[in-house]
Amino acid sequence: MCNDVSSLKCLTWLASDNTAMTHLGSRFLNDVQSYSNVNKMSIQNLATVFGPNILRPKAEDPESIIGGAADVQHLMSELIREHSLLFSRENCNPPETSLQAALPIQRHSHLVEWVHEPPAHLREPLLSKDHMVLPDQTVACPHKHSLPLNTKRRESFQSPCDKNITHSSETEQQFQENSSPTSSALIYDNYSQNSPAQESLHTRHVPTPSTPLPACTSLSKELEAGVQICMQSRSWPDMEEPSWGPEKALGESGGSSEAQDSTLSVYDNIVTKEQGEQYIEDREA
Amino acid sequence: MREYKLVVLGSGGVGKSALTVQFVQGIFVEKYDPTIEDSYRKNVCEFISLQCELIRLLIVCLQEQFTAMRDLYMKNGQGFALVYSITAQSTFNDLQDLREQILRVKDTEDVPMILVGNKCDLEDERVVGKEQGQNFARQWSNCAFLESSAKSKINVNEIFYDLVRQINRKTPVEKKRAKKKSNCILL
Repeated sequence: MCNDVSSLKCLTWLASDNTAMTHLGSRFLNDVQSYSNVNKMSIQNLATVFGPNILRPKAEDPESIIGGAADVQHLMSELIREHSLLFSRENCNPPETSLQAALPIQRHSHLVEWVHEPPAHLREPLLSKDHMVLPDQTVACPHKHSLPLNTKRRESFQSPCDKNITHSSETEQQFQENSSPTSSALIYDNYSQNSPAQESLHTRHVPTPSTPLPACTSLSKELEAGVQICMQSRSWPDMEEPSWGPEKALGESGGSSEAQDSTLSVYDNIVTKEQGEQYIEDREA
Repeated sequence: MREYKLVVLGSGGVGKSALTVQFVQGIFVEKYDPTIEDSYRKNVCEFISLQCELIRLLIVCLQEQFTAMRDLYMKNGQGFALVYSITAQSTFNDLQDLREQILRVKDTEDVPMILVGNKCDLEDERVVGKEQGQNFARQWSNCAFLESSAKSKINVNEIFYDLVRQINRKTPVEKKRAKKKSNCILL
């Protein structure tokens, strides 16, 4: 649980308007799920449906969507379940004011950057200079906070709450060291050995191998094997049947393996292990 | 063994997975568990031709809002079941766009397709009349239409068998053989 929440610390990289939107959205979804006995939309179900729309892969191909589905669903359900905890810091920076302040400045950049922004800013070493500036910015003046958002989004979000700056920068670094290798590695491992998680997702409805057909046993064996394959979400494009020849030439099928390799990096909003390590290296340097 | 790639499409919660699981496994899934995409496979005996030929059905259920995957499966699918719930008007209205998109992707008017009004066991909650569905199907150049119920197992197998029949009509098995023969005579 702790890891799940800390892996959501990427929320702090969001601009304040995006944070406010995410907060409102997850609070609303939490309201919806409180009627799950009527509407059948439990947290899990809501996360399945809304997750892929909120945590969008950069390349919207099926492999990326399916490949990250388990992680996305997990993150989204935490977002809904823990929304009050995750956004509690906002109490000192009400969403309304930050929204107003940030909107005129940031509207253009963030609509674009939300998806396409490279995670490079994660690797930027934290300049102590930024922290020195922060004490001047008081909570009473949210407009000032919105200004540095364009460049140093992360700090600006944390600044209103971090009264003790020097202390917070230390703890924050610790936080980074503790959380990013573990939690994001967890995501990464999950992904690279994605089959267990995904299989459990997709084997739910596995047709029982006992075929209704009185066919020969070799066929039912083949079916049994086939069932395993077909439960993998990429069954169609991966089919290596000659009859698929012409359609395979279209290229969707061939793309599956290469897309799989690049899938995780395709998520800008999920930190990979490498990125996390790189970030820490940079910070230590 | 001949393979048929069938795609089940429709709005969320209309019972695409329920229909498919009922067909493939003979179970009614009571629990709602939204699908992003699920594939199923079933081998059945084809009764249409004189011989009992074994065919394989690949069935994919897709939640309508994930457009990237929808395009892919529209391109690869051979037969389409467009499902709405007779208890929700909006699910019925959504299908027009879906059909248009399929025709656009396939670039032809003649796509094996069936319009399915699911949950017909819930007669008390019916919002979309049977005539409405029939009229809709007529507008769709006389597309096949069925009202079904995954729960009561009404018209479930018929949906998929009808699609197989439509695909056979469009691309008969004999055609393939004839092609192969003609290849030899080319000299």
